[in-house]
Amino acid sequence: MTAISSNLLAQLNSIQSRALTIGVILVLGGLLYAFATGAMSGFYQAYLVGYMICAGIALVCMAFTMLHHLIGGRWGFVIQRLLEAGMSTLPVLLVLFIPIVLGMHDLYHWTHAEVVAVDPILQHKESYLNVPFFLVRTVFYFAIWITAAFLLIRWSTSQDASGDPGLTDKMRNICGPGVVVFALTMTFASFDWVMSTDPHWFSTLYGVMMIVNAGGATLSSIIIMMTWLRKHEPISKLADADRFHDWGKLLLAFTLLWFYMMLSQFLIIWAANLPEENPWYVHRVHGGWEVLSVVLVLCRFVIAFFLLLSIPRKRDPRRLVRVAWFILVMHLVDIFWHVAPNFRLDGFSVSVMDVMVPVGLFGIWFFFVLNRLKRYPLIPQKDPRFEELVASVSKAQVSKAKA
Amino acid sequence: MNHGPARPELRGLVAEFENEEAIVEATQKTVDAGYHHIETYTPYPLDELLDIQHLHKNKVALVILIGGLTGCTVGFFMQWFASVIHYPINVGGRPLNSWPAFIPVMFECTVLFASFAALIGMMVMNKLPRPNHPLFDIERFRYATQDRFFLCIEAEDPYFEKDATRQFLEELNPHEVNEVEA
Repeated sequence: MTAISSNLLAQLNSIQSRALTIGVILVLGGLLYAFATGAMSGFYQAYLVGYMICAGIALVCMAFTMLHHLIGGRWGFVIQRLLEAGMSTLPVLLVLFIPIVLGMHDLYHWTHAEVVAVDPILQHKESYLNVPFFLVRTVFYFAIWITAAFLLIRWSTSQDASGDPGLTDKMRNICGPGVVVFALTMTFASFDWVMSTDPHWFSTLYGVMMIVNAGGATLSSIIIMMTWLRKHEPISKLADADRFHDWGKLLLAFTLLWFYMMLSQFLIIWAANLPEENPWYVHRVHGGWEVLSVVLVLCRFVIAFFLLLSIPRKRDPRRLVRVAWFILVMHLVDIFWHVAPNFRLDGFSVSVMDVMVPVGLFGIWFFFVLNRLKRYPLIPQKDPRFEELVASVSKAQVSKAKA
Repeated sequence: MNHGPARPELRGLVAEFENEEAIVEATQKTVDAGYHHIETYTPYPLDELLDIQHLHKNKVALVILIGGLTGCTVGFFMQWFASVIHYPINVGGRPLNSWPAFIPVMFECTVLFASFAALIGMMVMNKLPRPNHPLFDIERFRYATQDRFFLCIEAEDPYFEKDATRQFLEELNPHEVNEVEA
């Protein structure tokens, strides 16, 4: 028995091979460009941006799955398999981390012994910020994430076969502690991978900020995928205007939360005005970066917020998907804004690599998402709560048709 | 005792239905027949009726948006006036118009004004508070909060004609049709 219809499978295969081809071409192109111009550091920066986008979405997919198992709600069932496909890429992301290890000396200032030797602040941080411990931590995060993702996916797919309602309780039991562990590991992973590119600077809010911006990107990706999948069985029956309204509302909430986090961090540092915290923002409001900062807040928050206020826009997939694309692109700008100014202290600069490598890496990563998605049924049919959902949705549709 | 100028003796006609399906069908037919000034009363919310009566477009939303934007502006100028014009203080060498510090209060004012706009807008548009309503004079109307469904065609509707409308409602198979006095 095939999990999904052959028509859909053919389309998924063709998208998948295109994503991989374009992805590999763009990343290799970026690499060649870096070799040709001798700007390997720029390549690694662009790679880190791309990596954070993919890893952020994969991890938030896991967080959303956990939340969904805990709280239920109709918005989750239709996208559960999509979320599982997203988090199934975590082993791939562990492999994709290798270039970051290779580019460590270009990305992380604190890996240079001669720099640490003359820097008292880095000496104090050395017990945390040193290469072996950094690698051990990264492996540790992935061990936790991959285990959780593996269990959640396995139980969910084995429920498809057995229909055992006990599996739902099993999943729910690991999701409670799972959400807490996720928040902690993601926070420390953001500290290690991104915040430590400016090792003097620190913000306790950073991890939450990374979760929230990845949350917006994840919802945008979900809306984009669902707008396409709703033309196919069995999603077409379930992803109606009410579901898109739900995802749109969540996207609006994450847009607000994004600005809330950005402002909280900025306001605290701006009000305290301390020399060890200020430089991070000083870089971002000078030398051309201020234009990017204003554009980011204007697009990712102000424009996105007002677009998402409209109820008809949230209920119409074709209009909502445009906002989703817009936010996904702004997510690239957002991560770029977090990473690049730490390196380009002389002022704003952007190269073709900064677009090619993240987009390419996203394509390669997306190949693995689809690779998982196409092998299993698109909805968790045997979940006991799912049957209630189908009953309630079809009742609403019947009475609407009657009316 | 003087009751003032003569009031129209009829406010509308109300039909009582026994179940959900009946009122949905009746409301659809009424809208199709061209009546606009209609009102439905049900023991619990029915999404289908909102669709039929085109009540999803909620004008309160616009009032809330205007209220929120007003609050945001008021929040800014209140602080700007206090710290630039009325009582300027040098805080750590920062400019007097330190707008980042104003944002939390601007946000709170936005929420405050939007909430008041929502409450007041809803009250005004629903013509609330209103202690009594002519429909309450109908004995059976109290079942609207229990297990009966009511559809009222109001006399101000351009298509409303007492006898024709009554006949129209009778054809919808209601439990009974009553006159609502003004």
